[in-house]
Amino acid sequence: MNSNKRLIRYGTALLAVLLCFAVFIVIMNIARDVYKQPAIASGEDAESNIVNQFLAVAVMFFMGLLLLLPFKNRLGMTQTMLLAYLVGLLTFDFISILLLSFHIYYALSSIFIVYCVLAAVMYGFFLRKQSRANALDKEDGIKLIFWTVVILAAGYTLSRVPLSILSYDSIQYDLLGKVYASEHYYVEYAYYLMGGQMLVPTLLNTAAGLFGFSFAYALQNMFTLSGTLLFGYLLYAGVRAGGMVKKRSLWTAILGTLLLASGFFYVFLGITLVPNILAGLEILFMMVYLYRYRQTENTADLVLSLIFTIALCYTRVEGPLVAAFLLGYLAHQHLPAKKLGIYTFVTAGAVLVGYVSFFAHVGLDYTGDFLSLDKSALSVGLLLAVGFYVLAKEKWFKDYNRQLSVLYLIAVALFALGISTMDMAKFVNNLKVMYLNIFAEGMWVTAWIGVILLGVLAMFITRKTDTFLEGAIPVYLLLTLAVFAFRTANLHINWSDSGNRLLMHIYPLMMFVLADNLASAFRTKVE
Amino acid sequence: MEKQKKPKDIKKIGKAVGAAVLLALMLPGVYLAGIRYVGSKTISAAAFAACALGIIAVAAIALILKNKRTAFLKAVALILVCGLILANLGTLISPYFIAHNTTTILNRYYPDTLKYMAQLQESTKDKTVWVDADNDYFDSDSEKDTATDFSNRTAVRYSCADIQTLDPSPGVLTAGQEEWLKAQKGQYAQYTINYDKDLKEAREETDYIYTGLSADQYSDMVFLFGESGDAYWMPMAIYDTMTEETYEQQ
Repeated sequence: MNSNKRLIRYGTALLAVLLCFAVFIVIMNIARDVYKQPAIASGEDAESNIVNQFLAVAVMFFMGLLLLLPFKNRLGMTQTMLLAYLVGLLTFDFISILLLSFHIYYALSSIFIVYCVLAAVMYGFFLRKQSRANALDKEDGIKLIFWTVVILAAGYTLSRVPLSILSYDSIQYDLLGKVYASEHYYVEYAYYLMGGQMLVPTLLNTAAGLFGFSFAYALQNMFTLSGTLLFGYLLYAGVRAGGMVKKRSLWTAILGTLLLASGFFYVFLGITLVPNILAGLEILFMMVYLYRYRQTENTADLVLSLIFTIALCYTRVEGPLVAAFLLGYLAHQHLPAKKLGIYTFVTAGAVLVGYVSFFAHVGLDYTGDFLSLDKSALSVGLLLAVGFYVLAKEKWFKDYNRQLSVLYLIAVALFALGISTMDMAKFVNNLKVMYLNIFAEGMWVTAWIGVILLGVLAMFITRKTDTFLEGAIPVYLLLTLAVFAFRTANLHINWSDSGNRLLMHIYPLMMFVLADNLASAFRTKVE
Repeated sequence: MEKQKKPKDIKKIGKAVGAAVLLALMLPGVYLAGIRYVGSKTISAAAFAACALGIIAVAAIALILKNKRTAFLKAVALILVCGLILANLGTLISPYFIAHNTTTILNRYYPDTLKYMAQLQESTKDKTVWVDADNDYFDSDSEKDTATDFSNRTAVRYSCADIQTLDPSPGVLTAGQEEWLKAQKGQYAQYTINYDKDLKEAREETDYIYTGLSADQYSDMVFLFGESGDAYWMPMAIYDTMTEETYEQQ
């Protein structure tokens, strides 16, 4: 395609997108009046509320873009742009975690100082090696401008239209986040919240405190939007690599993304200020980037997967446990053992930093419902055990991988079912509540009905033989059963119970797997 | 030849059994979803029957077709994907759905929350505030003290523990929690075992009621409403409709 044609195409698409955003704002204003809702962020500082949140979105985006640009040849320009906001937000979070954990004065200034040092080191190191390799060509330039305008316009739209659901937990995250912003360190009076409210979702609200706005609805909505677009891109890239023609791949990606993004529960949790959508997208990208790494051996994919894994560990209290079990499964999926071992140890190290810092502040006798010394030790211990297992298996049991894989799945199943059936009444009650919530009370509505119907069809028409992603799903579901068994209280009826919301964490991956399997049936060659 | 056929047959049988189990699990859910969202047993039963017949029809046609089986199933998959997308979009914007659900993305505009909470803190200083709080805040003395202390920095006070109405064993509070709550009586409203009954009584006795996540029939959209019936998180009309339905079911 010549450059003028490309320019016209991107220009037209950009105008169409901007028009859609404008129409969306108008429609939502009308809907607000129809449903007689109060005005958006009323009061004299309403406008600064919107502007400050948009500024935060823009800063996160540019933070990520600057770090990713040196790798644009490895990632491709489109993927670089789609990752920019996600990586920027997580970079903000990781720097914040380091500052808080090591009791360094925490403020916007210290965050930016650390960021500048990080960026300087990266640019100095990488640009010295490949000074001209990452120069932007004309096509890259067009994509850079296109996606920058689209993402900033989306950020402004989502800041102006506060699609948000506040739950009880949201208020806790908001309060704790604002405490970090105002106190600049961990403080004693907030310890009881720290045990249940993990850092990644809390720091969204800290950003609200630092940038000067109320409730980080746009920061989270942008995460959901960027994650959804990246889902579509990865689906497109995957089916394209499998041999599907370009147009059909594009339609596959569009339909798959629409199916995910239109789901009521996906949207609902996407805009509810709780960590579930964050965890769901983190598990998706952890797995999909490792899947891509296994096919391409592109180190960038491995590093991206690691970023999302560490983010998962700091998003949910059971995050490290989920990571350990999934890595245990991945140990048998023919990934380079040394690299997977390092990956696992780095994850364990990242988690250990958080736990050591936490208990150094709250004391070793701290016991919360969600976090305690024994649970933390178990999580770190499991991660380290998986790391050593990966290396040991490679050295001594390489020829028995298949048998060990089966043994691992059996062990997980026995563990989950064994723990669950120790209290039969609780187990039965939890299963009944989970069933009711999936179909009737949890507002999943068409989501799980769709997954089951399409899943059954996919089983019969798929041409995929590689079950790398598929195998992670039963491991996660079994782990969920075990988590329910460890809870003190039974599950609640209604989506609101965090136990039920754990099911959202596997939903994006399930949809990706479904779409990938269905798409394989329409390919011309077998994968 | 026979030995080579067996693994393929086992795989086919496995897929068929797996599909049957999943569909058998799903179908009652269709009926339950109908009851929950439509409220009519007749319509729910009809939806159940339509789904079941549809699945049987697709399976029967697939079995009859030999050469065109995969093409047929691919077409069904495509139609289903498009249908689900439309159904999803419909549920997002349907007023009927909105009226029967306590939350929706469309009417989630909220006022300046913290400002409101600060106003609430001032106006509720000497009033009883009935708050639906999770049990875990009352687990230990230090947590209780910290929770109380911390809650003084916010607009709401934790005043009672929510007992899950569906929990088979009532009285899930520990002895320590019960004692603590009894000691708070006077400063806080009573705690509840029968959530819905007590919520109705509490509306008559307390000045403000805040319900959070643990409220089964009252989700987070019902965030706070005052004596005059003004609601900040959802239109009162919708809340009233839902509340009346709930009380009718009791």
